[in-house]
Amino acid sequence: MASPGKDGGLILDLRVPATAEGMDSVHAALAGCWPTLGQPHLAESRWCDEFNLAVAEVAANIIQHAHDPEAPFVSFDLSLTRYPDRLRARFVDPGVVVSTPTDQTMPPVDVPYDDLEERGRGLAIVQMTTDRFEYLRTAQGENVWVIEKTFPV
Amino acid sequence: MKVNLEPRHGGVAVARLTGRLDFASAQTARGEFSDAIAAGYPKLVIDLGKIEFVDSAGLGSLIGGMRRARQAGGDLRIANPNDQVKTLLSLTSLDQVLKVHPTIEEAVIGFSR
Repeated sequence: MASPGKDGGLILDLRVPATAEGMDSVHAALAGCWPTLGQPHLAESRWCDEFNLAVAEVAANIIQHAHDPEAPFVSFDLSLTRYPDRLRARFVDPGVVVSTPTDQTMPPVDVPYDDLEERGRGLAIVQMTTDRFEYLRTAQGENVWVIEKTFPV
Repeated sequence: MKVNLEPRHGGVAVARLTGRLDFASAQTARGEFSDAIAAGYPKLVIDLGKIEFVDSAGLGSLIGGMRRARQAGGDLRIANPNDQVKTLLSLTSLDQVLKVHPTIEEAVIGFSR
């Protein structure tokens, strides 16, 4: 785990196993980061819950693609960077191309209960809970995901 | 995630969940809810008091359980959600669909009203 610089900077740089157990290390790493942020009021706040959720949803999406026969992989990289006004998470994975992940709409709830969607909320949640959500496919065949959330005033 | 099913009277059962209800455990949860409904307990109270974290896939398993419970003439109610779960329910507007109670007993009583 990286140490924060004077103004924050890189606070986490982690290679995560692309497995269910890998999610344990993501949650543990996030929990370990809060004390280093210099924002004690954020601990156990809704802001914190939303950032955790956004990170977990992107990580879950990556892990679920890890066994795709087209491009299987065993791990991905997660880094967290603290800026004066915001926190950034950046994920890099070598999996298959993901179609329009940053343009998802939340499934409606004003439908008969039999028509309620059980899936399809994860990336819509990321969009709702962050101030920036970007995905790009690099020329080297990697997926790069960036989310940022501005600290509350 | 672990599930401990506690049968009550009148088709009611309390499912106590422990750990994380997420993409890795959602399928197990779906199976547990279906088994309970098939065993004659379509009125399910899902105790989330010892659940640390729920993601969208975990939430999907609760929706699936609710659908199957209602199809069997019952329902699925949530008890003891932590702040993270309340945030998730609010973000997805599923707090308008899933019945949420602060305690198990209030959720159980809700079935007799």
